[in-house]
Amino acid sequence: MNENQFDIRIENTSLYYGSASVFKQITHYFASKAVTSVIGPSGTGKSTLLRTFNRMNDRIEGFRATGDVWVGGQNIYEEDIDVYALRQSVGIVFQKPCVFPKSIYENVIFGIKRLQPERKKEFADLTEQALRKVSLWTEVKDRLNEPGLSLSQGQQQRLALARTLISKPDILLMDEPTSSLDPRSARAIEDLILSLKENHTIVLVTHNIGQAKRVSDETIFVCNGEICESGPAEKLLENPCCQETRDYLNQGR
Amino acid sequence: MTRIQKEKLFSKALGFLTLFACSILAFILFAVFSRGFSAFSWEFISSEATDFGAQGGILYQIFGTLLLMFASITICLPIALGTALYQSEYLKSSFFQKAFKIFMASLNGMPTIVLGLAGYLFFGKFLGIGVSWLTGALILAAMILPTAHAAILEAIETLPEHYQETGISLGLKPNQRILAVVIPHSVYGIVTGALLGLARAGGETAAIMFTATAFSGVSIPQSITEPVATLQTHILILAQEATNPTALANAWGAASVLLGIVFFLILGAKSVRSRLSWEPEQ
Ligand SMILES: Nc1ncnc2c1ncn2[C@@H]1O[C@H](COP(=O)(O)OP(=O)(O)OP(=O)(O)O)[C@@H](O)[C@H]1O
Ligand SMILES: [Mg+2]
Repeated sequence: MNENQFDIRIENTSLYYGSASVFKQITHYFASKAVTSVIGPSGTGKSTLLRTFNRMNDRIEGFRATGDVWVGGQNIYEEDIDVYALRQSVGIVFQKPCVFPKSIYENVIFGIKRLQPERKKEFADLTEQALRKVSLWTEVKDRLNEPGLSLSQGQQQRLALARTLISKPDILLMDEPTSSLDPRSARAIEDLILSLKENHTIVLVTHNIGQAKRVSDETIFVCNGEICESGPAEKLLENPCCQETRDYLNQGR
Repeated sequence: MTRIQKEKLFSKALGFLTLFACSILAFILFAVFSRGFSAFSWEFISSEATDFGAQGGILYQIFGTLLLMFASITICLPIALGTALYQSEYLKSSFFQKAFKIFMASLNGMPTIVLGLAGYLFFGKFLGIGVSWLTGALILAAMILPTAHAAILEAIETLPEHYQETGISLGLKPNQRILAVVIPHSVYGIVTGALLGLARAGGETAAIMFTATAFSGVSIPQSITEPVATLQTHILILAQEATNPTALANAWGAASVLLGIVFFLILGAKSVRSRLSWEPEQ
């Protein structure tokens, strides 16, 4: 891998659904091996932006991205990109924990079982590593063959994270990963985010300002199709420059 | 009349219509089984027909019906699964999506006698298989294709999007995602489609009458170019001999067996469907 493996950079990027544009000509360099939180009003395109980085939007008819989107040192909307390899190095976790109606073990190895069948012998070890990373190992090590859906919501979200981490992505995208969890499970995920940033570039979409403060190094505020403001999380969240950001942050108080 | 009275009357009327619909089935079952009962015995289902079916049993007729059913579903299922997967996972253009839906609907609405004749022209004459069980199975496969296809497609289309997205996000290629996500979660649709298709094939008469069956002198076919006897055509022929009471009784007996097979499959479809459906989501 090249030295840019942790990078995400967008330059003059515009994103469209059909003729409606979601973002116009935005430019931002995301901090490597750090947590950047993306905040902004509902419907402004935070999810769209996040899903651009692993080309999850390809599936949506009419979606278009122009400009440059550099992820892990590649301009990912160029033609000769291996989008499947890209997605393995850019993991994503969604709002609702997605667990397949299979055993805990089968859930963790869900991706690598098909993608790296030649490493079959290592699966047990990799599973343990991944589950340890998400602090789930001690809770589930004796019941790996039980259904994943028997876990609590918070545990399911950590299981989903383990399934993503097992293929060792350098970049992690999280779209409101705690919004369907209880406060304690949410805290557990936040702690995880902090422990993961050492080795991953993390982009976190959240509506929870407290969470953004607790876990992020940088923050960007998006609204009206642009990045209104970006900077160190503490400064932006305590003392925003832009009026829209101020209005948004004040709503929650 | 007050509003409440009106509503009551309305719900009663609907209830009556429902009862009427159910009584149709009850009447058919009663009519067939009560008349078939006298002919029914182990002897009847385990021996071959003699005297052009007026005497003896229906062993080879049962065999022929089952052979046509299972051969046709074996041919049909891979095609139905393949087309459903192609349509839902690869076919992007909404024009072709629509065109394909119309194609399936037309095939589904095709009178079976027309399907039988066209199928005979192609498989029987052009490919030279002649009047044989294989020709019949191929025609039936085409006939039940829309049924099986619709059941499978429904299962695929109701697959929750987040399962698909998770598969994609892990880096699975479309074919890997189909094997890992789509097919496992469509098993119940595949099974339902197969059983409904089998039931339809088992009940079909017109399409196979002149293309796959012979009335007498057939047993177990030795090659793909030989015809079989079936319950459906057997019933049809016997029913025309209204003057011979044993022949009539045998017709009702054969009808009972056919109905039993078809009913068994439909109930099977229901129970398999509920057993294989996914664990509930939170
Ligand atoms: N598949 C789609 N097709 C067309 N338009 C879409 C599609 N998905 C989202 N949009 C539109 O794009 C805009 C941005 O949506 P997006 O989901 O990215 O917002 P968001 O910031 O994540 O909102 P939220 O905070 O509510 O999750 C919205 O106006 C939405 O209506
Ligand atoms: Mg969103």
